[in-house]
Amino acid sequence: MKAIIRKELADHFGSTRFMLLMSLVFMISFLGVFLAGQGIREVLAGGGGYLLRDRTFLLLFTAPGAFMPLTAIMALFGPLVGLILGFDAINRERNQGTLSKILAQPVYRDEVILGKYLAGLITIGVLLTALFLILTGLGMTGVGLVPTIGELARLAIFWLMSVVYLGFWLGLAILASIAFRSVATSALAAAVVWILLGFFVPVLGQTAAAALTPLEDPARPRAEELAAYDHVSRLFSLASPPALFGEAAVIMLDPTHRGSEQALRLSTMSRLDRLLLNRFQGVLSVAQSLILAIPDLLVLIAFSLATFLGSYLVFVKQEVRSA
Amino acid sequence: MKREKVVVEKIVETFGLTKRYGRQTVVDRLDLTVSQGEIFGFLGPNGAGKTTTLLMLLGLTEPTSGYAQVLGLDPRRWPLEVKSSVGYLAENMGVYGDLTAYQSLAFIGDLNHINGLSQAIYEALDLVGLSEVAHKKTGQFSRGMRQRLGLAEVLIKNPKLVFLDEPTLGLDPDGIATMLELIERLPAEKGLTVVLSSHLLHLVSRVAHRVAILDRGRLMAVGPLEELAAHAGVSADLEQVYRYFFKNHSQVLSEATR
Repeated sequence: MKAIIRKELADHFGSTRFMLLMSLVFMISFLGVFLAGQGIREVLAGGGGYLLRDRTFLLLFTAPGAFMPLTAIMALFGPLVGLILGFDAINRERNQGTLSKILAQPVYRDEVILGKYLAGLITIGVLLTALFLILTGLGMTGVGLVPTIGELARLAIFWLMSVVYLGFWLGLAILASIAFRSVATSALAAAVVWILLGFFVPVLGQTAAAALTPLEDPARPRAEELAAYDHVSRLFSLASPPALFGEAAVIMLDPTHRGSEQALRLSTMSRLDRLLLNRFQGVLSVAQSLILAIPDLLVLIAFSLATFLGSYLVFVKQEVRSA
Repeated sequence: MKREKVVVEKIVETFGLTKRYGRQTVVDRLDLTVSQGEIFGFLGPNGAGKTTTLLMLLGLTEPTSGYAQVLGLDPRRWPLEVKSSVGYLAENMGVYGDLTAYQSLAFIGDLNHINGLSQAIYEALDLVGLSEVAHKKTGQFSRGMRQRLGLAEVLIKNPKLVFLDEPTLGLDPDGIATMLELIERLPAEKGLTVVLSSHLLHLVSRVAHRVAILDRGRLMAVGPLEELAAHAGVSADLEQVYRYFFKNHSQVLSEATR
């Protein structure tokens, strides 16, 4: 399998496709962070003393600025990285007649897909490392902020989460490349799933929530109604990796964020409960944020495993012949 | 004087090997034996079941019924062991166009965990006459050069048995002559057994020690060309032998050809 990983890595890093992809990711991310940084700089210049320690630097990644925050960019457009790296992983080999060459060597079929998956994951890891280092450097020099150890730890976990998240899309693209013999069809199928999970499911969740849990008085909704609405909407978001990643990312990068459920619970609490809770509230530690983000992460990992299992099951049943 | 016992090791044996896709039978109860050191011609028109048989022998597709032994191993149970010792040049085998010939062989060598890889690469390239273009990208290779590279990729793992599926397909006369010459040298120089699958009868008859004729998955005849010709009562010309067995479809093979 090492041979497959090595070859795939050489293919990825030497390809024009990778260079274009990297340029695109860097441009969009740079734009997001630059505009967020501009906003922070203005606040700081205006005496924004309320900006919290262990949080200010991370605002570069979570503040929307005049564009989307980096977390949203990663959630919505990051999938393109995984999809582009994997949509022709197997069918290209099949179409150019090299799949039978590999499978005629002493390797199992799952080694081929696992090798390609791991190589893609390493490529994503390298790309994100470079991206994060550049954005961190940009934040330090452009805005004059130095990240604390806690912020760096959060960024490192966010990096790992991003790799897992893009890994899911990579796995999905590899599955499409196995299921469809035409490269164009597999690319299209992967794009359809991206739009479905990234845009359609969250909207569907909100529509279903509005239909199933209507508000009596939309101008003054009751707390219970809001809780029911959020519950239905959240159920749908469990089927949307971008929504899961988006929430986990915000929890991890914003030490005051406790997840939508917790925030809602707070709004529906009695005054006394809120008073009691306030004693323990404040900025969350890295470990506390991580614990809150873990459920979303676990579902993301489960999604990734499901794509790999699907790839394996489809691949082992397929005939080797290219024509 | 005590007569020496001649041991003919059976490299490939199939017993009622059958492959069906839905209702279509692609390979039908195939019983075959290939002996060590021979060039075995596997003949038949397109769709006769030649490639499917080779894939079953490699463990790359499952037989519907029957079984095979390759180098004494069942490819279904020991696919890696079989593939370690068997080289396969597929029909329309592709190349990684952005790799050089050397890099292509290095990749195959890596997959086979070959020691002394660099030397093995140059030996294989030398054997197929591609040493001078070792560091040229294979995307720039002609069809003939690609086929020779494919043969080098087969040979680099030092196999005991090679399956060559239509190795001369699409080659010009010079390319065909070179390829056949290479194939002919393999048993003597490398101690290999060769199963040569083709629908080009005149080419196979030039190098094969024995031939098997397949039609719609059924074995029509198998044996040395001369024996088959004698049985058919025609001259020792493969085209005529082939035509005879196709005309006499109902007579399907029998005692004289085994």
